Amino acid sequence: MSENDQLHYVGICRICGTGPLGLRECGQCGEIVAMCDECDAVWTDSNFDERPILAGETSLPCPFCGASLFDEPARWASRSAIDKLAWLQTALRSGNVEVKQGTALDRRPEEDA
Amino acid sequence: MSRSNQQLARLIQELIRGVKSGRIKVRWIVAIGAVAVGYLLLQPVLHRSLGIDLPGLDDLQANPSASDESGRKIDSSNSPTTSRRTHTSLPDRSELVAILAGSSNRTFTSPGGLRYTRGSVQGHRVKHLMAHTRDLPDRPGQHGVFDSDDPAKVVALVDEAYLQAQAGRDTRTQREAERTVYDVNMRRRIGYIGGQSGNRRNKPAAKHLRLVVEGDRLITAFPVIP
Repeated sequence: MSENDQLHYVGICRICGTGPLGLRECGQCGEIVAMCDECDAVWTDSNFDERPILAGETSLPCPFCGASLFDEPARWASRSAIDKLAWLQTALRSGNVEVKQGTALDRRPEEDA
Repeated sequence: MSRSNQQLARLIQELIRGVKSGRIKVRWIVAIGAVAVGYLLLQPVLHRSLGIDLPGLDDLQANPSASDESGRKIDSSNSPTTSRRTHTSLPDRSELVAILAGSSNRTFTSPGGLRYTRGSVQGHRVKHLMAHTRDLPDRPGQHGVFDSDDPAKVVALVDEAYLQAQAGRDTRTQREAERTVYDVNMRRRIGYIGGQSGNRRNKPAAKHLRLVVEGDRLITAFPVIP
């Protein structure tokens, strides 16, 4: 299991009901969003009741710079990166969210097939 | 009237005749009624809490016609009443294998009309779907795992659920913006619940398929206990 398969998550997606909301770091601008590991719904802060940003037909552009959040160098954010994330730290202080760690959905299931 | 409804009507007529002729005492009718009401109340509770799938009221209904998403009536009179399955043909396996091997990134359209496009962290929706053919014990929450790991069979199962959802049969539907989430009761085991939650509960069997789509485009699908 590589480091890129580990994700820090802040809850379960209310759209698909099972996907963890992982903290996804844009490979170009470095912004971090909450992204469902199952259905790719994206929120730019902890207001998860708001309408999410949904993927387009084939891509999921970063809401800040437009680079792909699906493809490398986008990645699940490291602990050190999320420790500096302002919106998350605010939400953590107010007790709105909790950060947990788990395994992300396989990136390349065919390699194990 | 369906066959089961005809049988029910015949049974009620027999009981009325029995009471009138004095063959059956009224208290027996009351007792049978109480047992029937108790069963109907207990059936959904057992299904929710223990996953025991006993026939309910909906199984007695004739279901002569259903509505699709636009409210159009769908005539199900041609569908076989002896089986609840919607038969779908197996998709082109070679196309699926090419996508899984990474030698093709083309949009795959299933025989049921669902489109699997590029996208997701896995790179293609077919790859994303196949990530649900093995357990990930450390994945947070419920991770639905299909019993079959054959891509053609998994795609055919998703097609079956999609067609069943469109006919509005045994399906709960939720919508937000462009996205539609169907929970389709397949009325048979299709997989189990893995992940952290499923492994804590000894991997319970799943009979429902959750299907997330935008129009005819698949986002994800996996076994679930709703």
